[in-house]
Amino acid sequence: MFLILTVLVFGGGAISIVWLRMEISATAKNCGKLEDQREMVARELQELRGLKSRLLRPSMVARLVSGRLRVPSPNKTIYVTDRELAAFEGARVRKDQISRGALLSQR
Amino acid sequence: MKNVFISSYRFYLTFFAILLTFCTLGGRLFHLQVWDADRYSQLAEGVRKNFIKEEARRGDIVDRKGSLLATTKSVVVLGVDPHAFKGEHRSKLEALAALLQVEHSVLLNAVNKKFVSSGDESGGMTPVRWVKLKEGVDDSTYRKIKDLGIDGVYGNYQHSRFYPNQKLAAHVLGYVNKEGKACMGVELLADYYLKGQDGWRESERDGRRREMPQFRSVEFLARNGLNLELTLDRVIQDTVEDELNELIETFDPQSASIIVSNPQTGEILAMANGPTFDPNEYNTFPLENQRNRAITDLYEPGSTFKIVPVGAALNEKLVFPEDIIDCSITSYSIGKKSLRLPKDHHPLGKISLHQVVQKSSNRGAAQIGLKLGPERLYHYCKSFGFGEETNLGLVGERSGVLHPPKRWDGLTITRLPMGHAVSVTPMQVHCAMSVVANDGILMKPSILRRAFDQEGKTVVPFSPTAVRRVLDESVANELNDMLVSVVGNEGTARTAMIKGFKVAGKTGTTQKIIDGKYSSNHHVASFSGYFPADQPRVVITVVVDEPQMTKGRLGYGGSVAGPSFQKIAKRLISYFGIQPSNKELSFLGTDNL
Repeated sequence: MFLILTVLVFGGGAISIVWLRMEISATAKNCGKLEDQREMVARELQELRGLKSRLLRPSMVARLVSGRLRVPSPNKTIYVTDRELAAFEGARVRKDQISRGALLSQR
Repeated sequence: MKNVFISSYRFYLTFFAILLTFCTLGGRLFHLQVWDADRYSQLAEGVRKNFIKEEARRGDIVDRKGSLLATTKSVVVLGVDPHAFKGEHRSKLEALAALLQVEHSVLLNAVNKKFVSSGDESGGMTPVRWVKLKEGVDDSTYRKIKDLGIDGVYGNYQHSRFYPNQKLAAHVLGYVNKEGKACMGVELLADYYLKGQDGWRESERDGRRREMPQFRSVEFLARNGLNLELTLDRVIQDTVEDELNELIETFDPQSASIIVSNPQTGEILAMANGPTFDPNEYNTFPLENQRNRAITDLYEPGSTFKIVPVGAALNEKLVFPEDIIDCSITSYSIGKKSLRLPKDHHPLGKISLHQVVQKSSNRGAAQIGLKLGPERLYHYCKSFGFGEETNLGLVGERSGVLHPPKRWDGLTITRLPMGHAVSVTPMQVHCAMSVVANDGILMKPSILRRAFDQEGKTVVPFSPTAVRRVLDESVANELNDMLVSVVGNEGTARTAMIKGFKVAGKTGTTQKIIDGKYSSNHHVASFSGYFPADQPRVVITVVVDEPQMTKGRLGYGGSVAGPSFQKIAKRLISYFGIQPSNKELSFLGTDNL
């Protein structure tokens, strides 16, 4: 009985160790594959980043929209200060009031 | 039980044969396990052990907005093992040749090259296990090659530096050569931050030489290099390079350089030189194209240098902007000595100091130099940064030539104020102009902004550094007013004017010394200026070496470099959204309502 038990324990243990090592090997192999895949994705990412940078180079983008879009020259850019806007609004209101006054007087 | 007769002779023969076999095996075992155990275990270890070097990835270089300027990508060195190559795959070699863009015959030669002479006296042959087919094969092409399924054709990955914008900022970025050594530019300047630290791991490999990850014993991970953010702005750099190309196309000069920077911080926003090169294919361009001429090439600055004596004389309160200087006199007497004054392009008569700058009078500048005296003039030249490196940090920078007064000849005191008898780099002129734009403070020009890790966290910041105060703020403002008038209807740089914006600057036209004499056919045209003059945002310097002019015209700074300044400035106004100084030009100006 003792002999059978010993054989079972040791035999089972040995088989378990082998099974465990096989599992470790399989897992490590999978990890290695994942590492390779990650490396490949990283490589692709680098490739794409480089491509993106090349395509987004300002002169490259400008070439794509050549004749259709361009940065406006300074004399075509209008800056409106708060004061100017207020004055413009004031003048518009005054104009409205005058035209409304004229309308009322006509009536 | 049946007795079997065996003759004693045969019995002993068999017995000793078996004994001998076992003894031989035992002896061999003893030899392997005991006698030569160390050697064989080392041999086994060597075959089984796998030592893998993990190369650190060199950090990226980006501009101030994060646009990628230089990166590291994996490329494949493709080769073939002629012994593993199978004859039935010969038909696929044509497709491979098309993918690799090499001659079909090259591939045929490679697969047929199975043995080479061992080179020793025996005259034996050594099998060839690897013939390189092509370097730098990109990943996508390699995948297509693998899909062809040609036995024996395989590649090894290696890191390669890649500059996605090709020639853009080539001189600033520099390059890393095929041996992985940084050669110039920022690549060399910041190599310490960029290169990282290689790692390695120890494990075992199987019979097919594949790594068995479960037996990894020691592992030191590679530490990738830090990324680097430059002060450059890709949009501005691109604008500048566009303009530079146009300039080269129009004037076909020997070379040209343009620098754009922020005067308050000294940060370089763009730096370009022509002729240029592509750092991806650096070995296909002449070596002289790789020179960063903005910091390496010396020239006599000419009139752009006049800001030095005028600024110095104002700072020393020797003259004031309204002081009248007689530019009609041809010589100047100091004691018994009479010094011949340089000529002006046109007779100017008696003009104010303000006009000396505006009209770029050589005689006026010479007289100011005489008022200053050699020691003070030299001191201010040094203060403005001439005769010493600007310490930008890029390799190859030169300090220029500025002799101390004891080595001056009798004419130097009248020639130095007009930018002769001194050799400078475009960068030095640029820094000197930045002094005026920055209220009299000289800033150290900088190209690096910060080093950051993979998560974007700043590891090493590079802050702007003030070198010294050169001029009082009030003097810088007075000089600024004079430089604004240069870029006006009465000045020498009308071509640099921008409607609605106050622009300040100074032109320079220098005769080059050919065969020991000033040549009237070879010139360096330059313009250095900034805008908006009341609150400078950018300083731009344009230097054109030997512009080829049509109809025998002279390549003046105003006619060659001034328009380039204007074009770049106009585009920067839109880019930065700088508002005009002249509000009346506004569409909605109150007067128009």
